[in-house]
Amino acid sequence: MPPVSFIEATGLSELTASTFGGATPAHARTGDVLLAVVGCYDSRDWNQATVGPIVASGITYTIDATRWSMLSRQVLTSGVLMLMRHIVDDTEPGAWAFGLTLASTKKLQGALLLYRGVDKESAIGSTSIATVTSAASVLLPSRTLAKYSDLYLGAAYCVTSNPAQSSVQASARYTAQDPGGTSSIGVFDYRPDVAGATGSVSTAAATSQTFRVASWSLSSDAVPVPNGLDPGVTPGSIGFFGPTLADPT
Amino acid sequence: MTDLIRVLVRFEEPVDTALSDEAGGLLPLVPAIDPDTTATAPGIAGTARVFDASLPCQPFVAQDAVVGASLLNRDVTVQAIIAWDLANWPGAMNPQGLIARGKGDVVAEYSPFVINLEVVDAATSIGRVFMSWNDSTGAEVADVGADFVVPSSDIFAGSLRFFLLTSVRHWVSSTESVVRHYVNDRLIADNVVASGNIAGSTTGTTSIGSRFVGGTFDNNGFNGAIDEIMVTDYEMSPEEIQATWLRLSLYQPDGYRQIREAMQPGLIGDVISDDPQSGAQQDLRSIGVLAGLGDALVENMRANIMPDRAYGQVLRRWERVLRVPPGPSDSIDQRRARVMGQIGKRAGISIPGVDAAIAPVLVKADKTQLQHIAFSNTIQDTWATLDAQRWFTEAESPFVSWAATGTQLRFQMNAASNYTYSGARPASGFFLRCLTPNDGSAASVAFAKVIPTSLPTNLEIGICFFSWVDWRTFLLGVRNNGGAIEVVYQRYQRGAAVDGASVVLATTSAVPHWLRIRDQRLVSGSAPFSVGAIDDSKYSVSYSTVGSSEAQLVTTPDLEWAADFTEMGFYARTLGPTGGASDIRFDPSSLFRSGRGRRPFVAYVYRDPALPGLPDVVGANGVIGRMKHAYTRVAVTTSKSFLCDSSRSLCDRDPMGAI
Repeated sequence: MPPVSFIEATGLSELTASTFGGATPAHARTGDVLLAVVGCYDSRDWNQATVGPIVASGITYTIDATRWSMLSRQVLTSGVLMLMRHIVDDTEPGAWAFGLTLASTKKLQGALLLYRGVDKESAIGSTSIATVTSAASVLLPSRTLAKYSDLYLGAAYCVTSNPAQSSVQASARYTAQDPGGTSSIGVFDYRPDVAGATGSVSTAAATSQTFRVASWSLSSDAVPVPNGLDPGVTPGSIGFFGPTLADPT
Repeated sequence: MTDLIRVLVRFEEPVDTALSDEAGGLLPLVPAIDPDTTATAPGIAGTARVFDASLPCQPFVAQDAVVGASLLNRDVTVQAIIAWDLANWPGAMNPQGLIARGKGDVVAEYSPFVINLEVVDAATSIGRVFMSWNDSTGAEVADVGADFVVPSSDIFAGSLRFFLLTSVRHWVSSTESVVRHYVNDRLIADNVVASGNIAGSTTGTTSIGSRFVGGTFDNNGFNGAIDEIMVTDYEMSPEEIQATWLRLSLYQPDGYRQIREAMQPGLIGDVISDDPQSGAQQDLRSIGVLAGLGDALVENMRANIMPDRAYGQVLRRWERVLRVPPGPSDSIDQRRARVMGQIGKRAGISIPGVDAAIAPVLVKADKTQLQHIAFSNTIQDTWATLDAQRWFTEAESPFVSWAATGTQLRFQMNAASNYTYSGARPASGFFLRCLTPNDGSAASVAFAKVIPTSLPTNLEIGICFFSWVDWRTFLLGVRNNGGAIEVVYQRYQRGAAVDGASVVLATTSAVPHWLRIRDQRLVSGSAPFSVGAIDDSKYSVSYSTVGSSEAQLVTTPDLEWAADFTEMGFYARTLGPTGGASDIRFDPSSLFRSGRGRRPFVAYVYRDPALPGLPDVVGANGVIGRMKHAYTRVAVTTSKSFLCDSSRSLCDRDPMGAI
């Protein structure tokens, strides 16, 4: 039910030369939506910006297609920002692993974000990507939210150790950088509570760097419509049980 | 542990009369500004009070009648029957305070809970409810809330549509709370708040109808009507909320309808007034509501008496009967899971039940770093893997091997192998996989289904009891004796065969065999024995090629022998060089049960010491707190060495001394 509720985030990291993964958020419960936001890098430009196989030679990814959906793969200047979705079920493993083979060091950063109240059927709206060079203010692309209750999700990925992590407009849900200073990421969400274009959503970075930024809009669950009781129809009921009658079971 | 109603205000008093708290937690509630500018209106449960958010706001305020009675900075539930007028809400105002404990402006007035209502979109009647509180620094913490389409009401036109609003907070830890919101009986939000730091003072002021912000009750007033409002000190369950809603919306109105329908045709209208406000109709309504109340109570009991849905007194009774008292911060889900786990015990243990009970704690404790290791008096392996820490193996790789196939235990030996065993201490030539039956063998059972996929001549394989005290060995197996498949047993003590040559029980064929050795002492009807004597126990050996039921097993008369075997397991030996390669399987139905021992009901929380970071002692002890109801002893450990089951060393001495 709106508003979309952020529950928890855990980090994704390289497990082997060809896999990456991370622990399932501990609060995951059946019906929650688990999103994987992944930033990675390859020295060659990837030429596919849509969902589907990556065609560049030597680059492959594998996901458990029965449980995960690749919602978006945004590519720009050798960097890729991916968004994957999984609906939590009652056979949730303690950790998830994904396959990804690149020609060079992946410089991978990412997070698993657990949300409650995200529409499970149409969890993503339009997407876009841009490269931003900025010191203090990193602007994430505007999104048009179809409903007031939809959620804006943005990520900023950088191949240096300089995550966009100080939240200015959006809430920082996950930020990380590797100790070697080869990559960093910040993942943010923003709930303006109004439909329409959000405008650029800003966050901050410590120093001027080239960020690959992406944004998505997530559709929320429908607003519930409860019934009301008319005193003219149902008057005179016995209300709450008092202390002496409480817990009559 | 008792679940208490701390505040209950019904708003039955006329205007200009102080409101009373039926629960007795608050002193009489008086208007914050005199005179009382509120108005009364018919509610669904008597009279409601109408609040107009137009300035000045007019909340009712009171101090605690019993100091701290409404100071609820852990679990709390606020439940109210309200009508909410969004259309006439003054648009420039802040979220509306339905009820607030504490003004929130100074330490003595920090709020442990506030229920806020916020207009999201008046045009589409979308409203939001959220709970907030002050932390110890005074900062306001709030959950993200829940939106819903508010049933349309107009306080000026007198058009009120009431609904049941329930907000529940469960305090999980100092860093986490869970807030759930319900409208009627529907859960509309289940939010996690990364804060369990909830402040409040015994001197706080409770206000109903607005909250105090920036030095005033104005700009935060509730716009609507409150029929009844209640605050409890416990986490109300969905089942209790549903029961209340069904009683209010279905059973009680339905009782009135049934009374009317039971009247003779024509009676209402001709003889009895049909005017809802007439005395006759009010009498009928009272009778009908009482009939509906009876229905509601019965249906509530029918639906919620079993422990998977029980709450309140019923759940407490389940806990008392089963002796599984709740912990101080247990959620109702944890309490139910523990009760269910206790009920689901089999042979004194319930691993799934305990796992369910501790699951939320393992979540907090980082389940990737903690493992629940529980012992029962039975060891039965799925043979998914061969756990080297549990099974002690004597084999000579690569000539002889014991291995798990994923579904079976497999014994393989090369052709022409010759490993005879004649009662001397187990060493080369004798292959034994043993585990400890703990203190003696009273009523212990070794049972196996042997599948002779390839049983070459001269190979004998089966199950055994063994003692390191004087090398007592009790073997029961199947062998290929020159082409004849025989079921045999043999006993040794200090290297000497007790019965001479192996005793042949039957000649069978190369088909699956069920074998069982059982200490008979605790079996009903067994012959008496002399405690402490060399023959102080009685054993039966059983076999079958048909099945494992008692009727299918052929059992020998009891064999008197010493008690106190220390190990049980599988064995293989040869009568001479084997005539071919061996391949023998043991079915996962094979089991070893110790009838008496120190290890049953012992459990551990294991943390791999190789993991990075600091040990999660708090989390591990949290797990212990949940598990101790199901086990006699629980401890944290960073070693699994006690799984080794080697009676020859002390490595299986666990931190609590059990073996």
